[in-house]
Amino acid sequence: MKKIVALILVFALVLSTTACGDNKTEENSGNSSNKDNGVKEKIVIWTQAAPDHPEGKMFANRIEAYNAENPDAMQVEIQNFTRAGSGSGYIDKLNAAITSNQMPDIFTLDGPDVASYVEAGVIRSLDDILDTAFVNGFTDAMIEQGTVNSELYALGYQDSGVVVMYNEDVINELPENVRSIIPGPDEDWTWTEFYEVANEVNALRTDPEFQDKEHISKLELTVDFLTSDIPKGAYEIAMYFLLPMIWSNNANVVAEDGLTLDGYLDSPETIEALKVFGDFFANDLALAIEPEKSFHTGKAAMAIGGFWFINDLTSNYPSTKFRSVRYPKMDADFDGNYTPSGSWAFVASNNVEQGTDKAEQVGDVLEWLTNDEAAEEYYHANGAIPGRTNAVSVIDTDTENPYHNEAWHVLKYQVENTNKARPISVGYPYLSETFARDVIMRIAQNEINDTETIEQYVDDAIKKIKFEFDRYQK
Amino acid sequence: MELTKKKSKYSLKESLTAYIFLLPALMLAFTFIILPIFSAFVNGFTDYYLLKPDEKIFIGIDNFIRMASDTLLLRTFKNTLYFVLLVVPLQLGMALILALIVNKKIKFNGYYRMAYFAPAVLSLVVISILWSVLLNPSSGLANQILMSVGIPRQKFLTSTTQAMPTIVVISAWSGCGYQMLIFLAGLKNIENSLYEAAEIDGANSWKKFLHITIPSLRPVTMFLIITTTIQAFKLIVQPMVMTGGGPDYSTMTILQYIYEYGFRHRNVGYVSAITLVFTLFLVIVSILIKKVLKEE
Repeated sequence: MKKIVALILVFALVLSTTACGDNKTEENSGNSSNKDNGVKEKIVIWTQAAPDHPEGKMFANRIEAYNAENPDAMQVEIQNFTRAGSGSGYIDKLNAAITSNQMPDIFTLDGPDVASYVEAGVIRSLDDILDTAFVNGFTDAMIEQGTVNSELYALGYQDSGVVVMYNEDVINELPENVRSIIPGPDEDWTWTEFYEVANEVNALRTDPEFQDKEHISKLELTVDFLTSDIPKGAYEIAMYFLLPMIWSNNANVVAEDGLTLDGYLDSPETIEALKVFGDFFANDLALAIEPEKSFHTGKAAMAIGGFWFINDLTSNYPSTKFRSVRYPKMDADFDGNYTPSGSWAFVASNNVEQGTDKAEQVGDVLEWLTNDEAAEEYYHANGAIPGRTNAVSVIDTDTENPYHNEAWHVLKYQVENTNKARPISVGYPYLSETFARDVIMRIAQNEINDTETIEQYVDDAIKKIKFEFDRYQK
Repeated sequence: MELTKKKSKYSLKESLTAYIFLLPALMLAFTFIILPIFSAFVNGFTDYYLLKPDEKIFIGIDNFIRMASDTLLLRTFKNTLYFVLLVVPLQLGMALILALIVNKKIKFNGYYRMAYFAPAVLSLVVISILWSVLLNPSSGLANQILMSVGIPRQKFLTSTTQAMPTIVVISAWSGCGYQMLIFLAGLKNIENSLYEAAEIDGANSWKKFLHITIPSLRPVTMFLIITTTIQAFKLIVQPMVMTGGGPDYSTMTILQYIYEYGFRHRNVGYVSAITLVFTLFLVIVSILIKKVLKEE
């Protein structure tokens, strides 16, 4: 009897290990086999936003509203897969789905990664399922981010932005002639001017006369470039925060084809910009590995701050008086787009067949998730910068907090006037990581600011990237 | 001599029952060990790119030829070897010393064993994060202690020369507790009469250690050298969490390279080839260690 019971248990165990995969397959794919089996077809969305994060909640609310307003249409189901670091976790899930051909209908991708998924044939063009008028409602940077080979593949649900922040208490210790170099919120400035101010602050940091002032003695560095996040896997930090330096010097890291590096990554203008970056580290104004949240905690006097700093500072560090100015230019006369932008975007899987009812509804859902109303909701829920021209005005620059108002005023200007999408390249992930590790981190950690060494780093990086880009040029 | 067929002492029913009980384990081993190894073997000869799973083609030994000119791969191999050559003697040396200490009949012996073993039960990720904070060059406790005794601030994990040795020390500290227990078990198995006889012959502590303890621990030591060496070659967590493989790739190991180029850059074909060669290398290393130690 015992043996019979044991045999039944063993059989059940074997059955369960083989049956597991089939259930998940049906659950995740939302494919037409469900329809054939009498199960109502649905549209499945995957997102990298955690369900308990404001971003995850805002998507859930949006989809709930869509389903309520369209009870007769295919129901939409949203699934959250928490990302870690630069997207792993969620990206691993996506990779597994691609390998097993179990893609969702709609999913999110980081903007710069879109081209590699287009090249792989994983995502479809959106041109046939979206209204031209709707698409034209996005900002230039959002359209640029989502366009590959003149076709639109991705819709950004938010844009982003970066400002230079400085600690008002620290800067007030500087003499008037130095403080006057810092521009107002409606003025441009240059990296040379930024460096000059930072250098004066650094002198204060080491001046014994100022050591009795807490906001000076607390300083461990002058400028926080967030480079300590790069070794933790956030390689995109380098391109996002520092490529605009190169753009504003009339240069780029790669050609329009997304694959040619010679004459771009190693151009004299690019090297010049990298040298200025190196100056901060070689002259002890910045550290390659900064303390956590050094600007927020008063350990850094200045920072290249992402828009997400603002909510964090106002909510959790109310004693830090942060002022904000525009992202500086290398060339004072540069008048093109150059400020950091871009974020995650919605894309549609290539499994969504052209000309079907499902494709049409996927287009509707994408519009619902990224229209003006959605953009405004996301701003209120998560402080997300709208990527829609009409929705940018929702940014509130008239709150009780003047620091908050100033920062958003600067960001608003940049979103409407100077934001630029990162390069569209099928090899972008590799380009970005190599730029971060082999150029930016080497300059920062070795505290290099001589042109010859920087050129060597860049040459090494180009060789490495070309080795990898070979596959795309065959 | 006539060969006779030996009759099985188990009935068919008993044999069948045994195999059925083995079935779940066999299926799991097949699914998660045998199949992936076979898959890696096959993929190593293709240009398998993760985003294009249906488009992989056979490319012969191209991946293996590419490995020979991949300077970063060769660098990660050197880094891994450097780590192994440092950590194995250090970790085993620390483990043996701790085992000898806790083998003594001293007060609070149990607490000492627990304290020395504690790091072994902590997650490596947690250990790596904690040490990263302690060793932060600007605000870490380690530098504050050093500066208080007049030693200049050290770069630790941000220095190309200090980063790997720092990881070696942290790894040895975190892992030696486990080896300490194995050595302790070995020490407990040594006959006390041997030590008594040596004492009668006038041997001092060092001579007893050299001529009794070490030879008696030989089988345990051989086991630990092989397992610790194999484990050391599989270093990935500490450099990934603490340095990201930097600074300047000085701490990037083979496994980290395989993970990053396989999953982040999706070159599954290429990293499968690397995995094959690496596995072969580890098998050869295990055989060599066994041979060398047996010959001694």
